[in-house]
Amino acid sequence: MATLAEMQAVLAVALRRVSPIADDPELSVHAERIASGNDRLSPVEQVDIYREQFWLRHVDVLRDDFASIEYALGDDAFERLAHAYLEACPSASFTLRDLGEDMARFLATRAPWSTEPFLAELAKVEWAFVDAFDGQNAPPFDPASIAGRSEDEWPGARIVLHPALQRLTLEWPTHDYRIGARKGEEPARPERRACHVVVYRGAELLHCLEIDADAAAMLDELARGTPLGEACERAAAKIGAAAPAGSADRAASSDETSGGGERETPLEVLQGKLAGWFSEWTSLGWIRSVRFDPEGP
Amino acid sequence: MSFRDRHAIPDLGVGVGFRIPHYPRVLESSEPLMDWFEVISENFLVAGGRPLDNLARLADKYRVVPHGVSLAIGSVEPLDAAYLAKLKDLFARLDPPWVSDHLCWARAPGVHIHDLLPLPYTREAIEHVVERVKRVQGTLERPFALENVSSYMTYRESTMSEWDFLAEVAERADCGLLLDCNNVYVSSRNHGFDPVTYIDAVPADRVVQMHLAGHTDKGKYVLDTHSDHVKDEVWDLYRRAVARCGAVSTLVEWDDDIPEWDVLSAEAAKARTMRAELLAAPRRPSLVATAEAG
Repeated sequence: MATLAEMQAVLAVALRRVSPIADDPELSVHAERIASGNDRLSPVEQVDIYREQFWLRHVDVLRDDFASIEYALGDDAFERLAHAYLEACPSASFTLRDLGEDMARFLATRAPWSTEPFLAELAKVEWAFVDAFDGQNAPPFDPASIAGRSEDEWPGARIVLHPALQRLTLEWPTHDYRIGARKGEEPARPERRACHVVVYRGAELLHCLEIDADAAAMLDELARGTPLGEACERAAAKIGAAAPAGSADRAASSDETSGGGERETPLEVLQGKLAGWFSEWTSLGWIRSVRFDPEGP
Repeated sequence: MSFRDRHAIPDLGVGVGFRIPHYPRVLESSEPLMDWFEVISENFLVAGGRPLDNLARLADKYRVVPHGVSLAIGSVEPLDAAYLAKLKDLFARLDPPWVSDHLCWARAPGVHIHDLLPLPYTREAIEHVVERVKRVQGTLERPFALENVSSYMTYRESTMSEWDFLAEVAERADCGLLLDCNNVYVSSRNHGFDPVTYIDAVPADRVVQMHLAGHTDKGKYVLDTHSDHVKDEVWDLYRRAVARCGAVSTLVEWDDDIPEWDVLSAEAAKARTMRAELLAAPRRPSLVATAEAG
């Protein structure tokens, strides 16, 4: 006599088998001990109805969430990926919304897909859209909240970004490829090009915007909760370190070997852009508030 | 006093599920388009964004009743405390007159199967489910109803009918029932029982809501697809259920191949007319007697 636990354990294995249960003699015996069948369906066929539904449902969810990967691989290859993924990363969540959360890591680490890092990056972009879609809300920015603040207060201010905003650093313009694939434009695989993007929620739709490296460095510091003054210094150091020696627009102030006049330091470059960024990021809804309290995040 | 009376369960009339293709029509209409709406609880257990904005807009205009699919009341895995806490938060925002999920299992060690898997109709399963329903009701602090599921398999271990199993669970757990007439029909076709016997055996005073939906005949079995009009045989069962249970909130489910709003609305109107005619007519003595005995 099988207990409830024993029956559920056997069925959980049977339903997650990719191929029909009848293909596995041992599993078929287990299924026959549990299901009774009827005059139209054998016990194994009864259980197989649920197995088929399991795969249809789960693969459909992954198709929706990773449509650009399905385009990149083709239908059959995507289905093989979905099967391998679901076997390796079964849903542990109460919601199918979370089903694909490990896809980028899976693609990056599991052959043969790991030999094409473009795919893992595509999964990362797709998942950024999922997270941006239903991430936490935040009240809109209130300009009155910064009125009357003195210049001295700004270096210690913390800029609070929209909690659903997703910042990605990419090796390919995968975000453009994703949009093309989802619009049915049949995009070609792009050439490698480092880019920085932000995926964010607009009033009606999700958006993806490419930003330059300076803005990305600054935005990343602000997202960490770094006070504005320190964020500028850290972002400038990062930009300075990343700039090639003799780079015209990011040369250190002491470097006058190119014969020009004094150039702006990376910090000065950033500070010069700051007002424009603040205005743009506020209008895009990325900046939600400014905190002037000294205690930290 | 009946379950419905004890919990002051209202009759909300006839509603439909709140589904994405209809969001603009439903949310932007200045006139009420429906008596009430049902939402799938799990679709709104998210941190924020459009789902919660849309739900808030809906709840501003209509009575909204959440219906869950992931509780897995019959699983041997422990109840998911974090999930229950999220449900409780959602229910606090909507303040529904009752909440519901399915009499099924769905979780196994390390995996959520995301299906409504039937239980074996055994004493062990009754003990297990009754204890868990009591804990769920204690946690959620809301009238809770279990829905009968469509099923495609039968268990060798079952020792009773599905309707006897359902009735005993409901009585001993002291919970409500969401009677899905289409599920009764689908299972009756798949397992060869008389659906009228099922309807007549349901504890009528515990039924807080009914479901109607379409299904698909796959030849060797019938699949609960929610992708079509309600079939005539299911309307017949609905008439019988209304005659037994009285004025109970009804919901038309249509989740795949979702039609234009007007088609769905007409299906709800059909249920509304049918219900009104039945409720206006004198109740059949034999059915009333069965209901009171139940």
